[in-house]
Amino acid sequence: MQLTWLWRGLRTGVLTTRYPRRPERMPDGWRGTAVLQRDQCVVEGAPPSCVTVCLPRALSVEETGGDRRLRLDHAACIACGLCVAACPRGALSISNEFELAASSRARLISEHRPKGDRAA
Amino acid sequence: MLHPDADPARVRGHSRGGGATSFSRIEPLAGAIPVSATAELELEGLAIAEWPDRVRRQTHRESVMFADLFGTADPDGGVSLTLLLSLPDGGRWLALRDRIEAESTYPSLVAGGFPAAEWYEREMLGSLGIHPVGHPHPESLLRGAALASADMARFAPLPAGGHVVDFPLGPVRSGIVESGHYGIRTVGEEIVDLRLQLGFKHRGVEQMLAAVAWPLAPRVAERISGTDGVAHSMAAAGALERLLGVDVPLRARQLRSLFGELERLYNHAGYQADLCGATGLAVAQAQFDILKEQILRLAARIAGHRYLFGTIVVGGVADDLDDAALNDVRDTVRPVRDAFEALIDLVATSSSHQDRLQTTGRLTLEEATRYAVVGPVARASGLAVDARRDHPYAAYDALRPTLHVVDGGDAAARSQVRLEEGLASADLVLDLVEELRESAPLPALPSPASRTLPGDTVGFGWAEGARGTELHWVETDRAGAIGRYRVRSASFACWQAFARCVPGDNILTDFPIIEQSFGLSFAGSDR
Repeated sequence: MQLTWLWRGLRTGVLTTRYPRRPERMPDGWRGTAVLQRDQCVVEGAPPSCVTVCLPRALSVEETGGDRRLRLDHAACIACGLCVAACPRGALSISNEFELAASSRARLISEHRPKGDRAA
Repeated sequence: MLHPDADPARVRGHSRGGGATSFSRIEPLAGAIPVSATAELELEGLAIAEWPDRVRRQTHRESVMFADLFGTADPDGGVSLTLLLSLPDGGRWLALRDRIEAESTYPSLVAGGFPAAEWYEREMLGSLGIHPVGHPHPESLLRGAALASADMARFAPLPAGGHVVDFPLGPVRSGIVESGHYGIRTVGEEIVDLRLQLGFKHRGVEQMLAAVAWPLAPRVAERISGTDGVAHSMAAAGALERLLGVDVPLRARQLRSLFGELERLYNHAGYQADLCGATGLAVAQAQFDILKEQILRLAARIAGHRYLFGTIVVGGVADDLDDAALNDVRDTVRPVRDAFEALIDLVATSSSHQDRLQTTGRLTLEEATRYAVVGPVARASGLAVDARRDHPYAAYDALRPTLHVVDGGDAAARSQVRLEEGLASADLVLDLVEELRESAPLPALPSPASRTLPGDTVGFGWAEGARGTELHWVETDRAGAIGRYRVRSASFACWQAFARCVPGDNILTDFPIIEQSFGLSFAGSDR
């Protein structure tokens, strides 16, 4: 019986891939990292609809003075895609990227101000 | 050791007919809460003391199965107790309900003929502070407060210099095993007692489910236990749909069954891989893991998520599958099915594997019935229960899946049931692909997401996951907000029996095999 298993294992061969030496791509439509389009977001609504539907509170609005910024914390994001459907301007999308490792937590935060405010 | 309040002489109450002691009840609900889909769920307000008699009067009472017991803290300070029973002969559920005062007592149902209620009552003791009078071990089940030993009285501190050895195992363990703690007590090789401590994965999911906007409930529910995501989200969606009175189109129901069976299939393959790993059958472990990975990659292609998260929404499914996706399902599942079938024969004739499984961790039919276990654990002990057959949902009224029931009750029987069910799930997926090619496209129905939930109403949903039946119960308050969200996971229903079947005839090296043969989830149980 052990020989049967051995034979089966040898016949199957090596199925493991060379990742990360050889990059792997997830299929299109797979829900990976959320992407915030810098020039599309206007931080509309209080709170914006994307913030309302975000279960892990990965999306939030930071207000300093009159300046409103949408903040996306990739460390908290569960890539559910609900914000994509909620955004009326198509400013949020889901990519099939999955490599999120970063050397600091700050690098996992995307922060975008509405168009026109960026000079400040 | 009973709680001081548990002494009937000290129980605050009033006498009713015949001088019988009453407990601190407020008043029975008398069915005050309307229930959606009354054809499936019958709700009765009845004094707790009369519940055992009510069940004894039930026609075909031998087939009545304990399903759940939980409490709801009412805003006015009382606690509503609900006993949920499955009536498989008619495909219905029966819920009995009574109200007692908070922090008060009630007659234990363990003493009243529902031994399975033991852990449920201990859970309520910890979370709601209500005391079951007559309970054999009235101590909280919650983490840090008490332990879930097979026999708590026996698990006394060790005498110095004895031959008894305690092995602590967990909560942090090697590999990707979830957090749970076992105290294994041995004399020589033999396990004489097992202490099981749950709660390390408690995240307050029920409270979270009650707080989120209701259309998002399936998204939270699928995270109760990742490998039961489809079953939990289907049960959550079912509960809300019954509450709203929403009908799900046929094609959406078929797709739900398809996703449910894919989830069962990868779980059964993963289960066999882990069981083969426990017995040291390394090539078989790799072979089953390959099959599991193929299904997970298929799920990533067709649904955008390896564990099929996001597929079930209230009212139907998130996205339809086109012909290309259906072809992908067929072309992936067919070779997986054939490989699975070939592995069944190989596993069955691997003596080193079977030797470790046979007579290991035996759960008798009597014990399985006593603790109302569900899923493959129940079916491996000869208990023929399966929500897909007993309470058809999704497309199972037309599919009629075959039940795989064996009598052994040992690890070998549990493995056999899950081998057969894996193959059956693959066959069901292939059948569903053909049916989906014929069925009418998804109608463009208005999403129910903008609707408000009716006030003071109950919705109840269920689904048969790979580990058994997941139950979701939703109650709304007067304003239509979710006042109580209750989840009874299949794992919770089975852990209780697991703690009982380990001590006795098993030796220490059997433990990982018994644990793996049950294949339960801590996260699902802890919520």
